[in-house]
Amino acid sequence: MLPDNARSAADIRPCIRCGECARVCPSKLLPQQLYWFAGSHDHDNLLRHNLFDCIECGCCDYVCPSNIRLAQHFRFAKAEIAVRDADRARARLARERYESRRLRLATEQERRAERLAEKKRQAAAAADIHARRKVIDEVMQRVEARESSESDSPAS
Amino acid sequence: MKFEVEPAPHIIGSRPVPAVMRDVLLAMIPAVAVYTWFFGAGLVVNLVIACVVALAAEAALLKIRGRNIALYLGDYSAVVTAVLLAFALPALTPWYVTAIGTVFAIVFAKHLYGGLGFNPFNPAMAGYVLLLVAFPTPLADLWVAPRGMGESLGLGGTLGAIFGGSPPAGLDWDAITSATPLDRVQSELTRAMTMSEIAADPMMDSAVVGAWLWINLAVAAGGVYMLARGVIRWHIPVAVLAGLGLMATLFYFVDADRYPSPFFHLTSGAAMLGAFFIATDPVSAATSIRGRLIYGLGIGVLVYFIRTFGAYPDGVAFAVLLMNAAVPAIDYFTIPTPYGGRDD
Repeated sequence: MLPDNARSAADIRPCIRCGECARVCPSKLLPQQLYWFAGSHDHDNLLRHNLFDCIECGCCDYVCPSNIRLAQHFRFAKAEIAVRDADRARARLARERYESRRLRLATEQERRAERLAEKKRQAAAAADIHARRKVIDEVMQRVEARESSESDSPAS
Repeated sequence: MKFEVEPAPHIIGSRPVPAVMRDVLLAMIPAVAVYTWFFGAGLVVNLVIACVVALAAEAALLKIRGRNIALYLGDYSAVVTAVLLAFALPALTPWYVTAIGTVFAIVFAKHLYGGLGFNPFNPAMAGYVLLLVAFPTPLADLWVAPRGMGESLGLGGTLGAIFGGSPPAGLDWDAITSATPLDRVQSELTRAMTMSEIAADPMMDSAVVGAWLWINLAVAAGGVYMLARGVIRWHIPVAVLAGLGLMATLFYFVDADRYPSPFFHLTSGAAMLGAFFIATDPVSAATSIRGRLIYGLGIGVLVYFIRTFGAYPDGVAFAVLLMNAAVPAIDYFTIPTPYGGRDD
């Protein structure tokens, strides 16, 4: 039991841009332009033409002489843009996490290198002190040896 | 039984495209009748030639493009293009000129851009401009003298002129043709005649001017019918006539001897045809209300400038094509503010 003016997908025609949809749009949009950009997936232009002000009431469908499913196109385009935005947000998050991890690793590497360098310097310094102490010790031994030999010899 | 499942709305409240196009054709009937009364059967012959060629070209292109021939051929859009083009041509235009213009309109201006709904330029005017540039002589000289002036041709003579390319025996072209008022005024003004002298000229007899006045009124009546049926909206015709009328008034007040009156401009040539039938082609027009007003005003102003300062007596075709080219820019700058948005 279908009414005489029931909608059928059999006779969808190209948009002739008559503008009847714009006349009835309660949100004062340009459905014929939105339809054009939705077909070409031109998301920037869809947003410029305020796609998200569409309330999907279907008034444009009701008056369209070409029997185009405008509201369905807009619903699809909105979902497409939502998916795109979600993808972008996820990608941005992933990039941020990757970049902060890389920064952390780099910082750690740097710190480790610094610590190592510090250790080496200290080791070198320590080695240095040992060497000097050895020389002093030798000198001291020589001095001691001479003093003892002098004291052993007859007073001169 | 399986039903289609889809979201609301489940009913439609519009007349489909073929019904809209049929209304356009119905709206042309008074104009065609008045034209035929004044200028003889040539227009009807041209209409038949243009319609047959247009339907054949449309069918061939739909076949090549692999589209549903029955669906698209049944939308009458090719017939509308053919009727508007034939109506713009002189009544005695040779058959091959009409055919070439129609083929160009359907094949090049319409289908090569993607068919119905995708043509950036008005197909009928693109075809007309091609003929104007490629066949200047027949398009300037074959305007029939109106009833009461010149010799009557009859259907046989008309067919002979259109298909045979020669006037009936015993007559020459000058006996049956006569310059249109716009053409006459332009050539006389170029010879430094004043408007009052031109008005006294027997060639500007009330029969000629009156014929074009009645044709324009009949076209306007068809336009009012389309307005009443909701086929077109008032913005474009009013803007075109306002643009043309305002320019004509301005110049008329500056020097009434060198510039014809606004009434003459609005009731001569293709003024009404352009305003109601040509400029209102929605496919190639601007989309928003503000855009359509700008588009119409631009056409009106350009028509005035081409008529007054250009080389052609009438300028509707060029004005429409120029504004067609400006439509993307107009649309870009006239996006309406949505409900609840801030006007700035």
